[in-house]
Amino acid sequence: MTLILENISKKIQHQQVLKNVCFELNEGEIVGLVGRNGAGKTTLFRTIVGEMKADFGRIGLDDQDYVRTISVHDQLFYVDMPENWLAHYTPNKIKSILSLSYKDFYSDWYDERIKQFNLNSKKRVQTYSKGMRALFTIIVGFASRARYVLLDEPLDGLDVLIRDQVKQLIIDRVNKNNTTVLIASHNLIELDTLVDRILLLKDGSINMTFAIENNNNIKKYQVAYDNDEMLAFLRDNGTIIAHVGHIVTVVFSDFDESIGIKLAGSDFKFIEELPIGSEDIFRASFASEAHAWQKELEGE
Amino acid sequence: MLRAIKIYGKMKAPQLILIAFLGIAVSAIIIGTNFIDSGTASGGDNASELSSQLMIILQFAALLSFYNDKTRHLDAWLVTQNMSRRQILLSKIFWLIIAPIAFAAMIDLLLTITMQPSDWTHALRSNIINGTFSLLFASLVLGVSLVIGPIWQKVAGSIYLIVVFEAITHTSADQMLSRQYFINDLMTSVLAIIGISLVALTISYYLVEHVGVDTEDEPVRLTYLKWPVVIFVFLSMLVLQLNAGGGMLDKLLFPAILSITTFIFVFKPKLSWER
Repeated sequence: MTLILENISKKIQHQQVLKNVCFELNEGEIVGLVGRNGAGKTTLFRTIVGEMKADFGRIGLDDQDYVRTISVHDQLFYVDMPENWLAHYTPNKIKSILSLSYKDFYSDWYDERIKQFNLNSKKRVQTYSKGMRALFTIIVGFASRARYVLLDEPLDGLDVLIRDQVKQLIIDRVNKNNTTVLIASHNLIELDTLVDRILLLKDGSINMTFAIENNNNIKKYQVAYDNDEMLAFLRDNGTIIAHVGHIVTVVFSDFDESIGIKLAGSDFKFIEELPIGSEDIFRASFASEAHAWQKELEGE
Repeated sequence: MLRAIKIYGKMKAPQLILIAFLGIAVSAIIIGTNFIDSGTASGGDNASELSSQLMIILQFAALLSFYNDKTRHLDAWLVTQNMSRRQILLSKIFWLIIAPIAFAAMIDLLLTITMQPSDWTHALRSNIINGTFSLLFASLVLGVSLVIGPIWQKVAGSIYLIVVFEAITHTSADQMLSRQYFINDLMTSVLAIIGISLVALTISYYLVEHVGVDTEDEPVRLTYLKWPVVIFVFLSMLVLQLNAGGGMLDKLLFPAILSITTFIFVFKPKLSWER
């Protein structure tokens, strides 16, 4: 089963939020969705599940029109985070509701997870901490046994230990049920250890799809320069991530031989290539914006 | 459809139970008060009074519960389920309009049969009249609530529409009761009111398919209804003013103010003195 998005466009209050968004989600994949604040990640999720109506385009489950084919709607699970209806009910009540709405609802697994994470099943979810609410939503999502689970900032507010358990839980469900998970997150370091590939939402469309190992032209270097001032070519060709004294960490979005030659020149006391992560690719994708901000800050 | 009714009923069960308890408590209070005031537990007028008061209170509670769906983000999730927007609407009509009316009528009839068995036909008649009027007003409120986004504007819009509707048609349950219609007239009136309610519900049924979650905060959620809403406010207020006394200028002033206010809310024009 494949979830297909074809040219999804959506305007909200005369503003184009999504513009010809196209991508596919295959069975058993964990895919990250990243973009800057207000890029349209939540709007995209809401449009996929039918909360919002796309102005244009098609959302399909294989050859079926997902929005119009109501009988397949239990194949997708999504609730708005952090505000959603779950907060007003107890886990026991939620189980009875979801058992009606998802025909394959996994009651035993749900109960086990509630016990595993010490969630009080008799208290309303709104009494939980922010992190526990997020965790509970993830449990509900996978207990629904929907083929596609859409999670919006799922690791937000979770402490390190719970985060590790949640990541394990996601991987376990994907492996055992072949569930496909689409995760919107700002935490790119977390995504690196979880996802198969990342979709970058920029200017309302999927600007690029990447897996870290496939980005050979993006490089990250730490360099120490000799001169009093940092060389302009670093800023012109890359995104400065850190600058302490004469030591600069820079990401080059389009690394080529000429940059390599300049780095190897006598202007630098030492250079070291660092491993890149999704965060670096994200920075590189927004290099022009970052460059403009840097110039603006310097101007001030 | 049955699935939609079941899921929505399950989700609303705590509130529906509260509404039912409210109905029972209100009945006890009204009967108790009547008993103390007149020394009788129930009578012909009391039957109609109880059913109308009970229906108003239960409909009001159901309306609050209906608005509560928005604050709890319930609608946003329901549309992602195996049910269409129209099925969700019908479920709401069932649980929040028909069920409270039926429950209020049932309580009233049961009490009348228990306490004043000879009055049961009168009670039945008053329940039919009150029930149809409740259905009519609930249908109008539903339509307004569907088209208007923010909750306070839904409330204001609903009150305005009911006031206008009552004033223009000059109908109310009390008037019908006081006229002592014969059964044939009653049936005709009831059928006419049910007909109008069904038209209002059909319009809502059509519109619900076209409103998305993204317009929840828009004063008028459907672009093609923005101007009709402003024009309706002007014309309805004008009709009300024409029925009242005063000069022509006075009659035009109030509709103009109200429609300009509506226009500002609906179209949000940016007013600025800067060039």
